[in-house]
Amino acid sequence: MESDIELMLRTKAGDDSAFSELMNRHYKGVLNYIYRFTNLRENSEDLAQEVFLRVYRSAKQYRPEAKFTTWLYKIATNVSLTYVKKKNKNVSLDEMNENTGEVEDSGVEISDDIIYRKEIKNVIFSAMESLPEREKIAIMLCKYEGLSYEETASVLECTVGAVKAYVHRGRMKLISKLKPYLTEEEEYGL
Amino acid sequence: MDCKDIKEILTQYSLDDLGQVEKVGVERHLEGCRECKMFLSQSQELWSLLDTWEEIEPGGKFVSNFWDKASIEETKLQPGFLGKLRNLKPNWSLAGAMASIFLVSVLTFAVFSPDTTNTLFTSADEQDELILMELDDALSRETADVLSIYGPWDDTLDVSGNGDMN
Repeated sequence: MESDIELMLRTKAGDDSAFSELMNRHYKGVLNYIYRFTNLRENSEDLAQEVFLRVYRSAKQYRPEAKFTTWLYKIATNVSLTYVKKKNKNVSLDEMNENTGEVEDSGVEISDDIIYRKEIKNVIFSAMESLPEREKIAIMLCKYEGLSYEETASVLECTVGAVKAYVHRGRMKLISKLKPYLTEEEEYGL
Repeated sequence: MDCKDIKEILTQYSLDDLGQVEKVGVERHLEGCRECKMFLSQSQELWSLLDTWEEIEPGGKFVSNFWDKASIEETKLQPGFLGKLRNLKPNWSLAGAMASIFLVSVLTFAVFSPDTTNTLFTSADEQDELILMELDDALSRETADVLSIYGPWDDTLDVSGNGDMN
């Protein structure tokens, strides 16, 4: 199987099928990364396409110096941050929580499990939103996208030690914020 | 290591990202510290809780929609005549070289070209010169007449100072 870099070099040479293959490999990850960033299902697909458009447009200048995924997630982070900042000027967090784009049939009884899942998703999103930007990005990349500390450091343009600190601090804050959803509810000296 | 130090590396401990010495240190501390043990358990529980935020499945036409979008973008980006003109990247070094050659050519022509029209000496100047020559001539004649009372001019007289004045 060809590596991402080889596919990107083929794209640079004008082979669009190579770029289609690259998208097939990564669009699900990018889409979910953006979805977790924005909590807006409908817009996530458009934003994910915007990410790939940016990658495609800059293919001519591509130099295989860094890992493709770190470059891809750096662009995805920029697109998401720009969108969230722009959106937050007009839309409140409550509106964002409500506007998930999921279709609900009012005629059908919604099970407790679905309600719980929706609630927990919004609670996690709110807790993530409250974290400082770098802690949030570090946790999302390491936890959800499976990037290593080194790759995350490359996306955030910082050291590996800084990424470890971001993940740790973010994790402590999330424990504090999501305490009602964890089994133990005692104080841990946070 | 105290509880604060242990909590700082518990994330790495749970991800099995610690060296052997630190790992043993953490395990020894956890045996005797209820607070840190509970923190570790909650930390692991949090990670599981985050997993409940389910992924979304993309629509099946992501790639084809992308190419549609890309071709629309490409059409939009095609510049018109003015756009093409604006997008022209000037070759400054070539332009500089051309300007230098032009300047040198103009200067060379100005300096070395034959002057066919003598604008410095006009017919009015020629007339003025004739008048001056006539005036000069008249003055010489007048001076000669005035001096004639002293008799004819002796050209043989030695004026170098070697001759005998007496």
